[in-house]
Amino acid sequence: MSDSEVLAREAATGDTAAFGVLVRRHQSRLRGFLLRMTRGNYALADDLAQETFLEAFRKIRQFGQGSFFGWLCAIGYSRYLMEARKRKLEPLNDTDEIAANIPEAETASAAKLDLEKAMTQLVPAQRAALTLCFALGFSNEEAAAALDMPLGTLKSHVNRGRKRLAVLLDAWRNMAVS
Amino acid sequence: MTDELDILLLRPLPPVADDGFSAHVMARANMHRRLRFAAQAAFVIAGLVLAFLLLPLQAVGLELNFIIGQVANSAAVSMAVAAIILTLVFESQFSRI
Repeated sequence: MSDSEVLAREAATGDTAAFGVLVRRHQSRLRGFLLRMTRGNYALADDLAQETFLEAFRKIRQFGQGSFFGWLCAIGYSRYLMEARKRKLEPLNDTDEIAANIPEAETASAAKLDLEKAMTQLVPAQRAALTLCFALGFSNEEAAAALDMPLGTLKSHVNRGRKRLAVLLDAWRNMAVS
Repeated sequence: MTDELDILLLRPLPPVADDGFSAHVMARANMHRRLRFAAQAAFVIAGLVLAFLLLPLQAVGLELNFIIGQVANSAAVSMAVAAIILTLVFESQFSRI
């Protein structure tokens, strides 16, 4: 059991200071994850991160086995999906609209090879899967649990997301060169 | 491209400065805890007040008085209490032997 999980157990017994340590320890990565999910919307990402920590505080006794940060990401991701549905922020399902989302040639020349920008073109599940599995170093199993999806679905999101990113970045690069 | 993409994807997320975020979260968490405690206390007090107002306390008191009087005057209860006392006394006497 890692240090964070020990602190979570202490927080579950009513130790608020232990929960404070957890917040300070995980705020940067959780906000970074939500910032990517919200496609760079700092205000929304911070609101979601706050709500995520408060929900974790309320439900700390329900925290079971596994990684505490994974549990936080699960709460954060589900809150993001609720918010995206409510505000109609973006389509949540895969619609294969890459071609429609590739920028026009004149803007593409200015577009640099920018992962964050390309990430915004992916559906949320692909963005979350790639971020957890690559940038945050989750195993496939941990990421599948955090995103509440079967392992096969997660792998499919990772593969399709990588392919889309490769196509987008290639297309931007070619337009910039031409 | 795939290798280049993997290198890009594997880059850790840029750190986000705390800038009072944690303190704000903990202030809200403490406020939530205080509100929950206050709500629970208010619920218990409201329940007691309702019980006090709605229960026929005088009738309940009279009934209890009657039952206690009946029990105290009952021969069966007196015999049972005597049996228990005798058993305890004998037990302590025999345990010394």
